[in-house]
Amino acid sequence: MMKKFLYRFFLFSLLPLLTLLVLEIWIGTKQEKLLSEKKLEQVFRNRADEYQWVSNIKHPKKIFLLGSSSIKYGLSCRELNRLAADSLAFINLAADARDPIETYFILKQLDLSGVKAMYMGIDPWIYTRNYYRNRHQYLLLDLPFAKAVRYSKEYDARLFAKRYKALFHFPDPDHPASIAQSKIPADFGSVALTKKPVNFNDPVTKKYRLKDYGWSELQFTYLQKIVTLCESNGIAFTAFYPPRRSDFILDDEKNGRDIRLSFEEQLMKAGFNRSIHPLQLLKDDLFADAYHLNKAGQETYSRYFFSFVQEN
Amino acid sequence: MLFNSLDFAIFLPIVFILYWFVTQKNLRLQNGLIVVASFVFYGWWDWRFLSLLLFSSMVDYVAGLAMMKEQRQRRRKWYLILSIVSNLGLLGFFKYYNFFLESFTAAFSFFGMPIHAGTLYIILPVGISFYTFQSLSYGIDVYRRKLEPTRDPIAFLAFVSFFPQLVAGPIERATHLLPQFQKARVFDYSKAVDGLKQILWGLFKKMVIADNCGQFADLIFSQSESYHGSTLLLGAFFFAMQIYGDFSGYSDMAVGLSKLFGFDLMQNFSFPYFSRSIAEFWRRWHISLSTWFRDYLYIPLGGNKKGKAKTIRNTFITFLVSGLWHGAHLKYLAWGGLHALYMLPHLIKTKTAKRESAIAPGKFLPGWKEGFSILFTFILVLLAWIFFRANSLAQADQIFSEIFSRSMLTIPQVLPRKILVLLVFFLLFEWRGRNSLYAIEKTGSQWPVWTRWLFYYFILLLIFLEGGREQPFIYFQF
Repeated sequence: MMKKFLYRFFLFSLLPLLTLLVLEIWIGTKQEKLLSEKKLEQVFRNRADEYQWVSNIKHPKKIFLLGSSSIKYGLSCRELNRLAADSLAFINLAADARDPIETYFILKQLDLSGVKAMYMGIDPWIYTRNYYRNRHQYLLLDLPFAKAVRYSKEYDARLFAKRYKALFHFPDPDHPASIAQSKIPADFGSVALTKKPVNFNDPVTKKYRLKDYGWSELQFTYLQKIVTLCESNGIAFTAFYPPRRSDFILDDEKNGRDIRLSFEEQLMKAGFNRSIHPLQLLKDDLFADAYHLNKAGQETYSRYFFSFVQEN
Repeated sequence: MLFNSLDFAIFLPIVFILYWFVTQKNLRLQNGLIVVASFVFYGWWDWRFLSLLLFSSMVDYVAGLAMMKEQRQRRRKWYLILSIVSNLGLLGFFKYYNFFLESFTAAFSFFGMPIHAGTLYIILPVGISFYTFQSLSYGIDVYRRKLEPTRDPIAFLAFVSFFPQLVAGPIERATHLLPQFQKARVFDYSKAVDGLKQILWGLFKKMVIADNCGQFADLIFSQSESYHGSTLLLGAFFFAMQIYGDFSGYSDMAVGLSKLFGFDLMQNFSFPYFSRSIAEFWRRWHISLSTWFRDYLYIPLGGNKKGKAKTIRNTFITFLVSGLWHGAHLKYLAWGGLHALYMLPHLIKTKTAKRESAIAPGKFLPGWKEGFSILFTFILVLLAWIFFRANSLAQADQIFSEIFSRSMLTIPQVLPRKILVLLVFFLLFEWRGRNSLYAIEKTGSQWPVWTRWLFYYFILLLIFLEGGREQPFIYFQF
């Protein structure tokens, strides 16, 4: 009886196991092709739809602000435009958890005429594989089998299945298709933080997990692609570190030296040889959490940032 | 360790192999393996809580033996009180200490005598309400001489800590489960296959139905003030499906796992949303807890044998305690109280209602009367779930006022089509299998093997592709 049970169970499991094996071999051997620009372009093909309004801004000197949530909530375009007396038109293309890959494809799909400069906030943890859980599921294909197993065990059991779903271009439920937006938003893409953000108080030791998952080389490659895109369109590109709360600056200083060095090494490896403008020190009460400014912080930092743009 | 985790997927085959291939010839060794496996399973959350499990088991084991040796009824009663006080003391401290302290301070403040008492930061041990109740039933049954106490501490520990049902039930009675640890188990092919099928269906209910519905229930309940009545009612519907999928899914997995090890656990859910009255709902929902309260609270209070007034009183007490069992919060009391109110017409009726039998036997659709009763009962249950899921009584009040307003007649603002399609698929299967032990128990029994397997692969594929964002089992917190 037991023999029959085990034999039948083995037979039944054979099909799913073989399917997984074939899929893993496919991912392993075709990884370069799967993660090529052509394939990624398909994944992110409509991401710029939500920025249709950008083409409605007819200004000869547009300035794009790029990055993730620290930029989305950190800078107010309305305030920047006011400071510039409307001689410049600041537009914020940053979004929660936005990475260089998605940013690149959005830029590629947008009309860049009239864009004078782009300023990109660099949050190094965005460049780790550890944060793939917040990205489009397709990027999970960049994880080898063993790491994917560990990853799903640690973060969400669905992550493992998501890799296979990505392979067949299933829609990612956490990254729904962009909704076309042609109406210019009140603050040109910037948002003032009114609620307390969650999960962003992790110390350096927890944030990067380089030993476990490593850097995402793709992110560095696409950062460099953004630079090249700017250069080919005659647009100035500047990178800077967004501000962060003092205890986290200290934490970075104390525990993040090796990570910083390794980050710079990765940048060089990808051909990115520009200097990144250092962060601005701000009072702790201007922060909603370690990396996000509150409304008062947004106004204060916008003023500092404007002088930085002027100096540039 | 969660049943739907990778850790458990590794743990289970190891225990299975050791159980049937290494320890099978020695019953004590096999029970010992169950104890070790159960302790590993429970300790995976927090090993410190193992001491509670051990303490609770030891007290009842010793009290049981003492009651057996003692002939004087008065003394026996003292041993029973020791068991009850220890178990309920543990439960009371971990689950209700802060609730009662806050309630007392609020009451004193209300009467103009403010007192200051600091609450404690207490972590609720997983499943404490389940194993303390299971252990309690042993003591009470021994006291009532319904059960011969066991002298075998390993068998007793295995009974209290049996990992498939340790943290979320079914809350087994010693009279049913303990004897199964005292005799040799023989591997039964059909039983094991049936167990695997039930695990598969349980996983589907948990990962596809509960986890997907949970995402939308959370979304709607977290911003209830932004939604119309129709959306809020849909939110309550998603929660109804979430809690059923979650809890009955867990029970299915527990029962299925037990079958793999040669055990029979009691049925904990019997298609409760197809009930034709509230009384029937309670005979079909969380059966192990309802019958526990019936046998150890309602009947000792007098049940329905001492006149209508006392029957109503006993029913209210039982439902309120059942509400409180779910958590130290007024909303659970309100939920229990509402169900007691629902029972009132049934209790006041002079004619004794005939016990409902199978639902629409032999028919695909129920008759008009039966269909209406099912729908009406479901709506009552749905409204009660609002108290259960709301963050506070104030939020429940806001939701009710919106549901009973004109905004109920608008199209819901949230309408996830994919989830609704999955729910139709799920409810169709549940309806089809409504008179079985679990929905797919008989599905495919007449089909050729390859068709049957295709059906299982299809369910597996749905779990794999449509599994929602992982959410902890709701009943672990109780």
